[in-house]
Amino acid sequence: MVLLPAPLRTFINWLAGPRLLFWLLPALMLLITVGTIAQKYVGLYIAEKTFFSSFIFLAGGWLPLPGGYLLMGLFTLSLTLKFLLKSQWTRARAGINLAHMGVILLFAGGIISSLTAQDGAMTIAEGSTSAQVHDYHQRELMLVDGTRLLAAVPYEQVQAGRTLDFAGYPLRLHILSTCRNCNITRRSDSNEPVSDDLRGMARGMAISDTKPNPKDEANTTGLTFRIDGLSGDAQEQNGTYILFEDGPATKLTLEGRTLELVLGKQQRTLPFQVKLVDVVKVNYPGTDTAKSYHSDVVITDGAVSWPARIEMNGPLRYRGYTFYQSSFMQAQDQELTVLAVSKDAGQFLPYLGTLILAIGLLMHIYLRRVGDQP
Amino acid sequence: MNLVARALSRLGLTVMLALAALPALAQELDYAALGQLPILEDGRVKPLDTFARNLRVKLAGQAQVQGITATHWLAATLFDPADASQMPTFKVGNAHLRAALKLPERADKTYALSELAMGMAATADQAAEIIKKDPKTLSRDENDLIKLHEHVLAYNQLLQGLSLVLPLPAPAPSSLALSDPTYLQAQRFEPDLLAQVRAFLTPELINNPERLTADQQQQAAFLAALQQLRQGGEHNQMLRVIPLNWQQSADWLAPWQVVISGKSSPITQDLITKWQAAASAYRAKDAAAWRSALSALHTATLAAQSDATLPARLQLEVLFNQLHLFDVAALTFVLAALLCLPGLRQGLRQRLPARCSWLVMALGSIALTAALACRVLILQRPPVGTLYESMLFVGLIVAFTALMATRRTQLPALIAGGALLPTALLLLAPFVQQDGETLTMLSAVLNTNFWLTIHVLCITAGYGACLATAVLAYYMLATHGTRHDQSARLPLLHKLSLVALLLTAVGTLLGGVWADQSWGRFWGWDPKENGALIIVLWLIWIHHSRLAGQIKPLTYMAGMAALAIVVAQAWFGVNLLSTGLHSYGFIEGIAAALFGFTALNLLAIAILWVLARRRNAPQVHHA
Repeated sequence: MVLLPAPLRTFINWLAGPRLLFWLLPALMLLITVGTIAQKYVGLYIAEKTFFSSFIFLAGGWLPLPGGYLLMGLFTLSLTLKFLLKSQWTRARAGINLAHMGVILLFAGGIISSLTAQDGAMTIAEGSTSAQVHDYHQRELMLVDGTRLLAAVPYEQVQAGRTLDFAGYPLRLHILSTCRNCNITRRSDSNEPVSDDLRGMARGMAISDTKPNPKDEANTTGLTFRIDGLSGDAQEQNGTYILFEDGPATKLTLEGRTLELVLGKQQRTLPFQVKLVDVVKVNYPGTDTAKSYHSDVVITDGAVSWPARIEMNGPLRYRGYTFYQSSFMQAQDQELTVLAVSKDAGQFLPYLGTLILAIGLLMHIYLRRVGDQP
Repeated sequence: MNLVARALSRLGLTVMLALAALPALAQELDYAALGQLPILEDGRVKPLDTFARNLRVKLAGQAQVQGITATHWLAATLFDPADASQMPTFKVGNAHLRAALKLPERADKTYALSELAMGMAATADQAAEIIKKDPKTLSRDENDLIKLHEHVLAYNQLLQGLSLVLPLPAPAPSSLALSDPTYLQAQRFEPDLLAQVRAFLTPELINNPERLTADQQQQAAFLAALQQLRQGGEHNQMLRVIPLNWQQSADWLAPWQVVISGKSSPITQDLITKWQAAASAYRAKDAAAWRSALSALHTATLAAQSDATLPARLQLEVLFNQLHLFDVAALTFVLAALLCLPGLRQGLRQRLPARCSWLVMALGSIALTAALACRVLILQRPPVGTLYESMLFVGLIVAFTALMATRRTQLPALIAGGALLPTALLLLAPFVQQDGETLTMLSAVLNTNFWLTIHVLCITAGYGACLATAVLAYYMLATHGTRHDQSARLPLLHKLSLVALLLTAVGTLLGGVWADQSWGRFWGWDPKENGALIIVLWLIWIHHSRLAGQIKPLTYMAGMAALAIVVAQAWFGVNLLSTGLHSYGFIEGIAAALFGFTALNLLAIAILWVLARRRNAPQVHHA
């Protein structure tokens, strides 16, 4: 510290001092309160993005205020500097120092998780095998050849007025409109004009934007687009199309191949496969209320396979991935399991931080039992 | 002397009258014995006593109405439906609804099924239309009408629960040679009767039933009664009193389900026969036969199931229902608060009642502990799994914290605050669980004793410690600068709040670990998580501000008193949002109460703070 220039030392002292904390904590509490109440109106996903996973947010659309990243980053920085530079390494302060270390680990875990964590879910029918995990929120426009993904465009880049090209394919999409949560109606019931230019589903159906569902994963995203520039036999495919999430694919025949345009949740492929052997829902006797769920699966990694069970409060961890029993679905003649899948490099830090914080606070209370030291 | 002689004479007369009444009392049916029998309801096997009380509370608002106990009412409902339909059963609190149903006005607003029958029939179409509407758009009158129809439907199902072992409402044709047969006895004749009736009941006779002979009329009426009973029984699943253990199943079935589904066995047949014996004894008002039938039924039912702990748990639950331990605890706490009043100025050691108040408070805490222990043993899980249960547990933590703090400080105000707060929690708890003390089962994600123990108990104990801290802070704030200034207690306040910080911080983080185990993420900014985090941040803020000298002791006390507001918002306020994964805690209709609590506390803290500052008391300096 003494080697640093005086202004920098002053700044670091300010960062590590109580004055910053005095204003930082109420600001953080206020942000959490506002972000929590906002969840009722805009849903958890939007509220989290706006208030907690942001450096700055615009209150009322114009007033810039510090977001969760900024406040928590400052808090972590302040606490780390205080811990490293100002801690009194005495027996009496051992509990407090440990508690501070626990909090730093918790925040470090949070930072690593926010940078590296991938969350998603996989739905598998009994007897089926899958390695595909779909994201909860991220959508993409995909060009598919059978089951092979040829190209994908994140939905955030699908904006009205933009033109999308798919490298290597003579396909150019002019985005006419998009909807975060589409209202799908019969074209005859909508105000949309009927013209000879309409192709595929667009001939019978129209989509329009409606109020987003607070639960982002429940929104049906969609787009209206125009294809032109196709020539020869493909020329008749020039026209206006609609496409929406979980709806039928738009089929195009290009250079003798049938390709499909699909809008759906972003897919990730696991480096191993999961086969669902059985999914079991146990009800409380005499009711339809679930008492427990579990899925019996077989993991196949290369040439090796082994059985495993994933149950409520009993996840399966393998190769950095963790599988949780999330839900259960009963289709007409088969049962399906929904497994939440996460990969988080910072997963162990909260456990360590919690343990150290608990020990630290216990030690502090124990050491204070005699006298009234702070 | 004359007075004593008169008194003895009166006493002698009373004893003689009591002795004379004994044979009559002996003839009274022991309805409580029915309450000992087990039934499966809402996923849990419980005594009929609990079932009857819960249903009574749901329909009539209280377990005992006009002197009729819940088990007496249940016995009449099951064994003598005609009599039961005259008993007060449904509370109709809505004046508009009472007028619409043409019900007479009476103090308790409780009516028999027979009184409601006409009104129910008249409003059936209206109710059917209302059900089609969006529930959020319904008016209070519409909601109440739908609710009453649902209650009547449920009660009708219960009325028919044992109709298969009761005498049929129509006399048996002489050709059957049956006297007062039940459905079970007569059902085997139904195919023959049907063939006979079909043979003589031509379309012409259907239109002119007066041309039927008396015997034919009796046959047709008897057949109709059989068919009507069976139709009523086809969906009758409410009275699940027959265990299916012989089928290696944890399920229990209603008698009608056993008969209609064909899941009969010698065991189930024996049980149904014993139910019939109980019904006969009830209808004959034969106390000895009733006792004997219920005893046999109790033994046979328990023998037919496989849970070795069930008999003890059933007995415990009946005892728990009878003791009303939560009421006992609340009353004891109020008494403790009253007793400590004389000591408010001089301290607990100065006056005898005040000295007793600690002991009385301890007794109340024991009663509350016993009540929670009963629930743990009955439900075979930790004491907190719902919002309702968290209120009971927090009450206990506050009471124990106050007891411990008072032993050290002898501050009567801690007894008063520490007794009244749990009383308020015990009184308010039923409002967040409007079906009463139903001892509910938990959703799948909560069904883990490990996490319910370490996370939920830790965080709720943290709420309790926070509230106890707030009580002490309030007292210190109120007395600051007066003759009874308690500023010297700041170290105690500090230690209490440190315990609160430890429990809430660790509890919150353990919740994160549980979330990581079951939902796949440690922290998800869920409202309940955020609420708990705000309590932790508040405590950290107040502590660090005091340590750094940024706030004075008076403001420190005010900040700790405000902990009550922060806890209330985190505990109940976030549930009003009805969003997030902690859906089991969602409640409605407490927004105004919570707002009032917050406003009142803010006002009280502000006033106390300003008054204390005006008193210009010397500040206490400490490290």
